[in-house]
Amino acid sequence: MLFFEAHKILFEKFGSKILGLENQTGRQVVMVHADSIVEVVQFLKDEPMYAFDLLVDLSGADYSGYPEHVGPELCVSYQLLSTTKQTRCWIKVYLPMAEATIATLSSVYAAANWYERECWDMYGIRFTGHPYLKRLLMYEEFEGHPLRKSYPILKMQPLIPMRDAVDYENVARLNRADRSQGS
Amino acid sequence: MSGDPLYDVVLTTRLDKVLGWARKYSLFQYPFVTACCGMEFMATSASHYDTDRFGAAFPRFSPRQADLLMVVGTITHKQAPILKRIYDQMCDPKWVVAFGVCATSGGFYQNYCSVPGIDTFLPVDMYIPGCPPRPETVIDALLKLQDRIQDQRHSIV
Repeated sequence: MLFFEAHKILFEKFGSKILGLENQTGRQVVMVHADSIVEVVQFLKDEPMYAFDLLVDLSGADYSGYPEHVGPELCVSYQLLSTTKQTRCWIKVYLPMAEATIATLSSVYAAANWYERECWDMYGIRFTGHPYLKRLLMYEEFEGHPLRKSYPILKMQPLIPMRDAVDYENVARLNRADRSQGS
Repeated sequence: MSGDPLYDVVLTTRLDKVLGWARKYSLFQYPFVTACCGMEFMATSASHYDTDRFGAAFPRFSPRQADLLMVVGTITHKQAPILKRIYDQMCDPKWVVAFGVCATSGGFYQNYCSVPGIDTFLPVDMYIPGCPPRPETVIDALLKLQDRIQDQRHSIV
């Protein structure tokens, strides 16, 4: 059975916690309320009809300034795969920038552990109940979360002093000024 | 002078020149390979292009035994202290080659994580452009580096 032929069951079971179903570039994406992500995913994993036994991906996104986007800016998206039924499921949860907190999935899927650490590192989304929420890619001394739109695009945080360091912010500004004069 | 009995058996030169000649043909390199340039580095070192012909290809995987640091690939700010430490562990005389655009200038990475060229914290002797550079470019750079080593001052103590 295709997953989304049966999505009504989700609405029936979780009611208003399922915020909607969207077609995004040909994929049916379920929008879930942040409060109940663990229950929904646990249900999708345990229910034999779905049997989504693999967490393929978990990633963040920052929709600040995205055209036609309304509502909370940060987003966590989950991709589940059923290895027995060969179906996939996409889930999205939107979170407000001011309080980017969501429950961890690491009790449901062990794979979520590092994904969530990466997501915390890059977007500053705090996963409550995570066993070891530490930066995965960046170093401990790094301040801020680099993939947030509010992070200055050329800001670097070197660990050792850089010789003849170029002021890249200024160079980029001058380049932009040059281009606008030329056009 | 052809009348001199030592003419055919004795070669006169300067000690400085001999040291330069010896050093340029026994470059022990430490390959600091972090990215895709490593493939091209392997191709250059392997039998087809064979940098060993020039006496410049013996890889040592300990910085204390090496005198040529090949920085092959993108260096991130997280990795920069490690590379600096490797450089500091090498004994004098030592040379540094920036292999590929990422090590040279950061390449197309200009963001929060990449170092915009290793020359922001290391003295670089030779830059090899290319993404990745062709083996011919690498060999050309090695020969140029050897010329430069020959012409350098080599103090004995």
